[in-house]
Amino acid sequence: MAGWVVILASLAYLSLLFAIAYYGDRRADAGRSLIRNPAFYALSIAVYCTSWTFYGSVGRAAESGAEFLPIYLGPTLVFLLGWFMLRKMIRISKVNRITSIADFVAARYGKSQMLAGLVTVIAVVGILPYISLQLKAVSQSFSVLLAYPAVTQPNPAGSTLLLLDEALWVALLMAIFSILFGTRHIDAAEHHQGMVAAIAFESIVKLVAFLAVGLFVTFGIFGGFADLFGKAAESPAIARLFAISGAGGVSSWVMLTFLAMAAIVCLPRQFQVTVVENLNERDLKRAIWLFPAYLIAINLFVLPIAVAGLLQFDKSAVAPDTFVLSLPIAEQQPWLALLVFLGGLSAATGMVIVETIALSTMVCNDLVMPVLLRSRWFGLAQRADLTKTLLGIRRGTIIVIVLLGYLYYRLIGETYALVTIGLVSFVAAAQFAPAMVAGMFWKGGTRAGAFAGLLTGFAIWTYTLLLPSFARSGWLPLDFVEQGPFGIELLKPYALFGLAGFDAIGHATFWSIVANIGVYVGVSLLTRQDAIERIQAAQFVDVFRTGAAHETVFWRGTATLTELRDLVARFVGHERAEQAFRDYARARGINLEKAREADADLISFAERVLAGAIGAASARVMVGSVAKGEMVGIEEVMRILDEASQILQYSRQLELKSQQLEAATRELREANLRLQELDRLKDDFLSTVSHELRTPLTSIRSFSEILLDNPALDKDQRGNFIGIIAREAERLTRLINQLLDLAKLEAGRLEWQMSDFDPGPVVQDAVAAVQGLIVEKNIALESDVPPGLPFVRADKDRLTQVVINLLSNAVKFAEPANGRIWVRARAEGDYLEVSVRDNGPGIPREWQDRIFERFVQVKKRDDPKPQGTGLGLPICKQIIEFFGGRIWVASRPGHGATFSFTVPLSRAITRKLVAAA
Amino acid sequence: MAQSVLVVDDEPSILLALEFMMKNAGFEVRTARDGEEALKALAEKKPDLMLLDVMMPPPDGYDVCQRVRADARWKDTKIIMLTARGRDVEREKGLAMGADDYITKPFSTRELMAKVREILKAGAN
Amino acid sequence: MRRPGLGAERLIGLFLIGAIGFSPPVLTLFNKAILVAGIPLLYLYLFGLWVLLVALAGIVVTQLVPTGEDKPPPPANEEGPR
Repeated sequence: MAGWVVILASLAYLSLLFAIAYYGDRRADAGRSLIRNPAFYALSIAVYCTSWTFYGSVGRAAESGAEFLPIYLGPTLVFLLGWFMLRKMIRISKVNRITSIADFVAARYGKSQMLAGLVTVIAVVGILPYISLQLKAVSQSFSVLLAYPAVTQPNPAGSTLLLLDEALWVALLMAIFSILFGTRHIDAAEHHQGMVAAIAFESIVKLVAFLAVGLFVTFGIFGGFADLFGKAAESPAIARLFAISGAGGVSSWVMLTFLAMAAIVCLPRQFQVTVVENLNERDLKRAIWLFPAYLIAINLFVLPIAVAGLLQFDKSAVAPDTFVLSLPIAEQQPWLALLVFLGGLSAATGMVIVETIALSTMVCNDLVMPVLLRSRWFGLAQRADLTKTLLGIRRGTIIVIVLLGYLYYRLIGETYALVTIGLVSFVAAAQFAPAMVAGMFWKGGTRAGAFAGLLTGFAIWTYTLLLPSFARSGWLPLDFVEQGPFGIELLKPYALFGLAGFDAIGHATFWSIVANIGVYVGVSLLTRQDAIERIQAAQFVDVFRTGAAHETVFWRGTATLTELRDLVARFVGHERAEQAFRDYARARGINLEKAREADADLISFAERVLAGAIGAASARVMVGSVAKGEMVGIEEVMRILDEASQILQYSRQLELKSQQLEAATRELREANLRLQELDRLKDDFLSTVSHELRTPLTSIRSFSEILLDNPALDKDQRGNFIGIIAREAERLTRLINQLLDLAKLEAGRLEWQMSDFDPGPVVQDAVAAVQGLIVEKNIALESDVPPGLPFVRADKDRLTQVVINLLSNAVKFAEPANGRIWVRARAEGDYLEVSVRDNGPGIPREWQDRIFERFVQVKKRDDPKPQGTGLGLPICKQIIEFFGGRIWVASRPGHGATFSFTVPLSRAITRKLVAAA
Repeated sequence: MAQSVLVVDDEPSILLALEFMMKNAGFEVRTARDGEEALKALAEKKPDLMLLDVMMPPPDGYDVCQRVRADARWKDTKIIMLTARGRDVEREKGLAMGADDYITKPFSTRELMAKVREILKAGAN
Repeated sequence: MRRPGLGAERLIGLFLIGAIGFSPPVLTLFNKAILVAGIPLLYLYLFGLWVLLVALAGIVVTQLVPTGEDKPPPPANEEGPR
């Protein structure tokens, strides 16, 4: 195939990617994000699948069968834990404005610049093989495709002159695209929405290309899976790939799964797309299943293609890493071959772009800036706008990293298969896992522990993987690998301390991770955290409890607002700094124009904004340079942390308490009102009692004195007066008795003789008792009391008293000339109902409710005052209510009054007691 | 000419006693059993003295006292209020309403007569 | 009402099933170089379990209810127009 066709297609494809990215950025600027759909997020995470997946998996499968799979099963497992772990990582990063993995580790362990630098170094050195892998894959596939229609071996790396090496041009092209994608401006949150959109697109392209080959091979060349595998089963050399072989296979299965689990979190580019570029935590829900589903799809045809390649080609003639491309070429499918090439280019480009952007951010923020800030502080401080400097540093870094990758490829590339190169990087990235994961769930990890653990792991990685790879490529003496340094067997890099039974990757993974974790935990337990470490540890571990709402302020000092604003502007640009401060002011409802001093809260805010641009560690140093005062001390930190974690609880309790208090106050107020009312009633009662007692006394005393002073009164008058005295004395007596009765009733001190009895005779007795009055006033009484009424439970005498009272009232009020009274008793449901009706003047409606109150009497205008005490009905009411009945009056003025009461029947009470028991 | 007294009380026996005492002392006596009767009697003829019970169905003694004092026709009429409620506030209230004196039930007949004479004499001067 | 956090716990359960299902002891049960329905047994098992886990995860994520403490932080004021 002509070179220019391939190059033109490649450029066209890359331009399309760039167009998508450009459009995505434009949309983001306009506030109409292109990647709002969570599918973009899930697909961008598929940047995990690089040339390694696209070409290397088939190569790996052709070598050792199922062993290509753990690399994808591991991430699947991690994403199943995503809601639990990744979401926490995302939340932590949002709250702390973390923009890279170095930032994450450094921020967790007290915003340490040293730690950030170390992580950056490990990341860059560790990832170089991975980048070289991409370059190798692209240049390999390019040369294979160029040979079309012949099927050839790719040129060995470094075999051509530098300027004729397509890998160099690929490297430079990719560097340029990375710069275009990722460093067009400095973003406070390090969001690259356009890049995410392009990566998502790229993921679709590589999947489509790979599926196309898979389908073509399985159903085009062969007659489906059964045919393909059936033919393969006939060859023992191929059929052995259908199972994992030997103990080595099993142990490396576990190691690879673990490595992949670590890598999906710890690779700088995965951290970039999964955590930093995450727009919304909810998007994770989609990614939890969509990303693993993507992995399934892209792995479905790996084994079929590998098996087909082995069946079609002689393994020594065609490298398994190129089967994906060689098969369509061998079948004379130029367009499919071109599509495959673009798919592979796509996978490689995506990886290089995201990886170099992530790495350049780290190098810039955590290596270059700190050095610049230290060494040329004054020079930097004088320059008004540093955003250009920042961008320049990043662009330069991208080029350097890609070229270093190219160098690694030239030096080492030829010695290893794609997957092996990639795994070297995985082991390096996995070194971050202990510090990162433990840091999210364990507050005890210290900066010294993290630093020592990382350093140890990295050293072992260098010794057991990096150096041997140089040795095997001839750049170091091979003796070092085979006999150990200075001939010391125990220090052989591939069998450290005599550990055998692993391949090189498994061996290095085991030692580096075990040592890393051991040192991390051990040193953490032996060292102490300083103030800021504790703050950060708590912020990370308790991120869901404290969250952004309680961004604790750890600056005690102040800074002038101008200084602070200028500082931020220098790194993020004047316009964005203004915007950030305006947003801050608006969100807090304060006016920054008037303020001269920036308070601790604003300083913290500025630090977070800066952290987005230059990393947490550098941001702290920068803010520290303008903020007077100091970080808070350890005691204060503990206090603040306690407050922060308890503040929610307190405020909840407080809310509850104040509600309770409110309720209590309300009750108290009501009680007080009732009390006042009772007090007034008591006062009224005493005053009324006084009046009621004094009135008969007045008559008695007056007439007694009249009789004393007028001995000459005639006999009639004398008799009349004495009669009055006697009557009033009797009234007084009755009044006192009733008062005592009522007092006892109300105090509950009356003795009751409760019994079950027939109420009929009681009513008859009461009628008999008032018979004298009735006859005297010539009143007609009708009694309707049927025999055999059911028994009631009451005090017989008291019940009689009630009936007598109602009857004598009726006698008093019945019409004087033609008086009539009706007495009636009936069993109604669970009660006996007794009513006494008269044909008197009746009771006005407004009095009907009050008639049972003490001393309330209805007087007849033309009559002498009735002889009542005003206590009869209240006493009746107390008695009836004690029995468990009720008493009421029904009356229409002018048509008499009916007083009725109920008393519970014995059987009803018994039934209730039984039911209750 | 005999001075006239209007006795107002809703308690028949007390009314009877007061009526007897006043007649016995030589006054011209009229009686009323509640506030409305009292106002009616007042309108018929101005009394020199009213013995006015406080606690009656409305209008009560205070109301009657207030109306008497509000009317220029009866500005010479003396008022002695009688009450069975022995609280100081009532006494204050009665005097504030314009009563000339205030007697608590049960009273001594001699004291009452002495007070009546004293007040009527003061009015005559 | 469903207990908050149940969805997340179910995902953890799926993780455990996967961690055990993809572990060597269980794999050895299927680690035979034979074809079942024309497909190597080991691959049939691995992909089958894989698809099952992802499908179940797809169902479970719809049950993820953010609980009170899990409310995402308020839109950060840093995300202003660029």
